[in-house]
Amino acid sequence: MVKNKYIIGIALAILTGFSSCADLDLAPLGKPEAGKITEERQAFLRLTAVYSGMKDFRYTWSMQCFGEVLSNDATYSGSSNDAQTFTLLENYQYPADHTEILNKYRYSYQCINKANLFIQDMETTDDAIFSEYDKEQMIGEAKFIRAYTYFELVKTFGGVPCYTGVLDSTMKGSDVRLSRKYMLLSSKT
Amino acid sequence: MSQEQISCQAVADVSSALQGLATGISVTSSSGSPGSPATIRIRGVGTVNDAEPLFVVDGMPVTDINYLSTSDIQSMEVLKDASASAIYGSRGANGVILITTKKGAVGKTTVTFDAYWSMNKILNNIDLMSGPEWYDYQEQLNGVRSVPIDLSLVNRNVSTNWMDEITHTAFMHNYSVGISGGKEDDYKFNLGLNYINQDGTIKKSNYERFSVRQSTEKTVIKDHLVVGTNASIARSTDASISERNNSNMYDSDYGVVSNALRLDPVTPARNADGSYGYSPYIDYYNPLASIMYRDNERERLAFIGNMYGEWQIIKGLKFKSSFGAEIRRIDNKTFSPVYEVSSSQRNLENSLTKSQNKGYYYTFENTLSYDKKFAEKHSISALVGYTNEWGKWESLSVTARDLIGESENLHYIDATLDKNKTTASNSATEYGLMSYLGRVHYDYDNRYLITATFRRDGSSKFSSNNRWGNFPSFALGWRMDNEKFFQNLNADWVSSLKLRVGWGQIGNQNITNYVDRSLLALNTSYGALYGARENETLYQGIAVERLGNPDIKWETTESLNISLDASFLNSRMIFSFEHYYKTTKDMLLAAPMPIYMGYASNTYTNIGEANNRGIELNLEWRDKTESSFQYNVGVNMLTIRNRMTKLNGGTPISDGPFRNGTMYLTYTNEGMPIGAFWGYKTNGLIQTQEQLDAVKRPDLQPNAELGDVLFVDTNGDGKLDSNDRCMIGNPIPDIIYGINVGMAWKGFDLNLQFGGTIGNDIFNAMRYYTYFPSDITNKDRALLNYWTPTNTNTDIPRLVATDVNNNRRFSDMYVENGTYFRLRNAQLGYTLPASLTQKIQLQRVRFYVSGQNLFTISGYSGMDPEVGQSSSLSRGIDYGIYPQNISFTGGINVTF
Repeated sequence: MVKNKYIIGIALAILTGFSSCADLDLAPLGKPEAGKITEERQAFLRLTAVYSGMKDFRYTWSMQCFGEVLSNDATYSGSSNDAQTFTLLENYQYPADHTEILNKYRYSYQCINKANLFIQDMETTDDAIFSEYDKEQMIGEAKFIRAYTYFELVKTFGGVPCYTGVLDSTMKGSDVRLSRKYMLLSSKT
Repeated sequence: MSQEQISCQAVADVSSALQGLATGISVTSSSGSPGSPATIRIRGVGTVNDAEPLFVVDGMPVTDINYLSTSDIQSMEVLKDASASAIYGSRGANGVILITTKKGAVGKTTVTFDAYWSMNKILNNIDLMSGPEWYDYQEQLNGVRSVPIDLSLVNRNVSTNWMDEITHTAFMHNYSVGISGGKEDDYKFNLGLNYINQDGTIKKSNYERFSVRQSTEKTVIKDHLVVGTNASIARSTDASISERNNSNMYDSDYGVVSNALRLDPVTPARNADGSYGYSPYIDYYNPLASIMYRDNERERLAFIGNMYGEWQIIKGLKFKSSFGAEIRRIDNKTFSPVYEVSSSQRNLENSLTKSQNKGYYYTFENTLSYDKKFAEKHSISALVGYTNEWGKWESLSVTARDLIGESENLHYIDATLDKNKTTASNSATEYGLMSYLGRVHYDYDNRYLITATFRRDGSSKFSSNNRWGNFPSFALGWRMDNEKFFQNLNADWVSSLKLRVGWGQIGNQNITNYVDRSLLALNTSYGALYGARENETLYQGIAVERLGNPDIKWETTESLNISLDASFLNSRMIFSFEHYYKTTKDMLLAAPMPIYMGYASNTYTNIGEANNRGIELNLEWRDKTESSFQYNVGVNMLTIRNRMTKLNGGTPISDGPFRNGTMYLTYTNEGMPIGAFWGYKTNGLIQTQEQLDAVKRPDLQPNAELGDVLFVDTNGDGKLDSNDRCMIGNPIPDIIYGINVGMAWKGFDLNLQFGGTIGNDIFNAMRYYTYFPSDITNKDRALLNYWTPTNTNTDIPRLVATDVNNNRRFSDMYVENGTYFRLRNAQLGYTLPASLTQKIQLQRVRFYVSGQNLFTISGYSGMDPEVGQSSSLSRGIDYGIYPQNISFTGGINVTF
């Protein structure tokens, strides 16, 4: 009898003892968490990501796409099939889900978001870590790229949502609507 | 489901064998690619997330059952309601499929040998134009084009059937050996070996697998201690075609099959000089060249095993502990040689990519159970348990360019002539899960049964505030035929009658890891060049790709079911009816965010609630006549009514990306089924001048003419815009059914399995190319019947070169009825008489022939009505993927 109680006890102990073995707090593998910037080099590379949009033609080519091609000064690509992408635009119909229109909107805002996140994280960073680069200049460069992107957006669409802080997921479009007039003033910031 | 039903299916992947065999589950093959798994959904689509059911093999949850062969399986059971699957935990929220592999049986050692050989061909129902038809059609189009295309560049008499060019009749063979034996109260063992080699119906695709499985159990101390192990090792190699885009989704702009359906038929597959043809009008790739120039090989190795011990401490009290491990390794090699088919289809520099992926999953499970029967009528059993699961997946890949040579022996990264071009990537992910479980079961006199279960699960995918979830469940059962009042009725024709009610909650956390935090990603697209000329340097940028959400918590599936199970006439007739009502709350979803928020990927939130309800019906009759003719007939049916009942924050979700995510085909919103097709409503063509005058206005269809599509202004606001889009189809079937017929007589046996769906719609996305003249692609023959003032009885719009009316916009012209009826499997076998076989020392010899997908009745105009899904939010969309097969098989089963 005593032996059996012993065995039951051991079984229960094994049962509950292993709960301390496992840890459910796991650090992400291969990707660091965003937040305060602790290293100068990381600040530099985050600014690089802000610049990176400029090499994507879908984000920079409003002048060629909505200007030259639609006014027949230029044609897109070479095959007759590719040129047909612009049929609707050439007939004055601009559906919001058209590839070129959507891409312009989408990639511009991705650039703006990267700039905003960068500026926000830089503001809480310790000045002392910057030796090679100038912290204020970096913030200034991000602000310029953001303002230039908004300028391109207003030229293409007119009034667009404008925000300079990082949005949290509950904000709505109506909170951030912007008119063309205001845009001229705020591009100085 | 029993072993006979499963093993008579000549399929490489076990999940396909489930089709039509059990009620309540819908099995669709997403691709006919050899060895590819089917998508299984139990009782509708509960969540918009990964709705995969949990596969439990011999008591151990596994991530993938592709290492099993149909000959390994003893039985499969599907657990559909919360109470039954509660014991299997969180991944069981979408249902559980219990697979039991063959175990040893007490008695003489038996050896079995099974082999089958089969021939497969693709099922192709699509009707495209031939070379001359297409040429003439283009000539007519040239009459309305502002800039005619130059038809002298092609030969009218060339008529390439691209699907025929890229497919062939494929051969498959499969061999299994099994050894089983055991001794009473001592040991039991089972050993299985299996080899399968399946050629794909598309050239240069194939699948080959060799696996060994063993199952051993030993009674160490009689009635006290039993230990055992189950282990499988499988190695497979396969080569397949490319069907997915960069985000790993089926996309109709990529893929060999989609190109085969779109490329014009006047382009020769190969020219007289042996070079590959290309279209002078469009940049699409020659699919035959894509296949021939692509060298892709994948090798998979899987080890799945567990060890367990069961210890009966005192009578009725058992302690069971089991440790399982799943170790997987996937190695991939892709080599692209230098080639030039056309200016767009070419590779100027050879490249080699090799990747190695490793996965480790461990499960440690301990339970203590107590069974006691007292006062003769009361039977009680209680169980407490603790489970711990942990998994890690790592991938490493290296790409080298400009190799010194292209022959097979040089396909190694070191063979590169330019080390600076070599790039590598390496990433990993891991998760952990901990669960506590308690269950009590009480049975009174085998008449009243009560089960209560409680689970507490913790997951590493949520932040510590929301880590744990509590999930209770109940079930009540009543065996009416054991009641006194029932027995007094003397209704001998009723063999058993049971009523059951169950309610339960199960948690689900099947989402990507680490989404509760914002992580920095280092994508190539974030790189930028600084400096000029000699100082030019490329820097790798880092940015946040997805906003993390620390508030996410467990998704809960709550289900209620009422069922009646009965058997009549000495169990010759079996009837079961069940009504289920399943609600998924706090659905975890990476819902689309406003584009102006500027994130590349969407944030996960607990955003919605969905409901699935319906009935399941199963009726079976089996009997035998005096002349020993046995027969059985069974019908099973499942109805599904699926609705998204709540979307927190109210933003509907668009999915079903088309053309690389620039257009979306499905829409999920409150009150609609998940993944409903979304587009404009049409009302035939504009046939009369009055109709034309009514719509030819600036806000409606300003550029319309007679013979164009008439779109409906559904919201009546006088404008035809995206607000007029509405639900145009539902991919979820109203009814999924299966019919099984079996007969046996004097050594012959015949088995027929029919199945299909009723009431589902298919979105034929390929029509974007094949049904409208805008792109210079191959067209469906239906287009030859286009509208003209003298041919008005048609639904094909008038011939236009530039689609100024946007006839091609997504509308109900793309949606077709997906109802189909198919003979899935037919098998005729003959077992040699025992007297004959025993003379050659064999216990049993059976020969059989069978066919799969032998005939189909369907109104669908695409390749095949069995269209799978790429995600829960985009089902039933035909993107032109690897087609299903029709096959003929011959085989032999021998028991020594």
